[in-house]
Amino acid sequence: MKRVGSVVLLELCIASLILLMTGAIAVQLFVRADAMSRETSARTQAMLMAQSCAQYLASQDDMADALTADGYEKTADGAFEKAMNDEMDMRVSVLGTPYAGGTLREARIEVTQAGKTLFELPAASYYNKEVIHP
Amino acid sequence: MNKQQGKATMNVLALSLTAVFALMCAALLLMAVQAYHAVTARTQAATECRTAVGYVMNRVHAAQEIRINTMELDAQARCVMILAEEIDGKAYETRLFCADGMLREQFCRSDIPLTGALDGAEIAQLESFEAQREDDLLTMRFVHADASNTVMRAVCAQEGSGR
Repeated sequence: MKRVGSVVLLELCIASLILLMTGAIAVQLFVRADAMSRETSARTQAMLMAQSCAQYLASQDDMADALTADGYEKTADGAFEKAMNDEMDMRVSVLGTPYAGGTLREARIEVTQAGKTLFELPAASYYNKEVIHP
Repeated sequence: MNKQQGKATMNVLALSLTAVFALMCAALLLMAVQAYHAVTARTQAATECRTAVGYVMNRVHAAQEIRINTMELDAQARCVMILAEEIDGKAYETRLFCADGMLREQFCRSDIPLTGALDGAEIAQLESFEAQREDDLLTMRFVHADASNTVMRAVCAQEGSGR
């Protein structure tokens, strides 16, 4: 009888151990799934923000002035930065390339969260018969 | 007495282990359900957000003419985005608005008025939709079912803009 009791106890111990290991693996998987879901959601928001910014820049004549008017701050390296919601930051680098027939204005829109780049979107507008003088 | 005490201890230990086993099973199941629910809800919210915003953005980019009106529908003032176009010489309108927690769309001839908020076809879940136009820049605000909001700007096509 005592022998049977010991076997049952040992069996329970092993079952608990197996469950503990399974639980540890499952928890890791759940945490990873949750993190992936959060990142996907953040990337969606980042993509929409970058798209909106690109559209805004396309509607303006002067990208730098437009960004300043929209609350962006100019950084030391000439880029424009703005803090958004959910700890996201927008960074826009603007450059204009003059051509004989006009100016190609390019902007690189970057959305970051806690220092990690979530989404990057290059945007360009060609301004006919307009030449930027340095 | 000692034998009986030992047996009782073994029984208590076995019962305790069974209880721990059952508790761990329940906790694992509860956590799995919570994690699954959170992941699914977040994915669903992101999908609804992308669907509503993407749909309106595509319609705006494809539109020939855009007007923003505020209409009294079912005793409530609602922002209605009207995308006008001409098909075979006849004027048609696509009306985009939000009612009853859904983004709705109605496509009909421009002389047919929008009478009820539930007239339009359901597109995606959306709590509220507002839009305003300043020159060729359209600013839209989407409030989603989870109370988060998205502000999108879009350039309206203009003839002779040179861009």
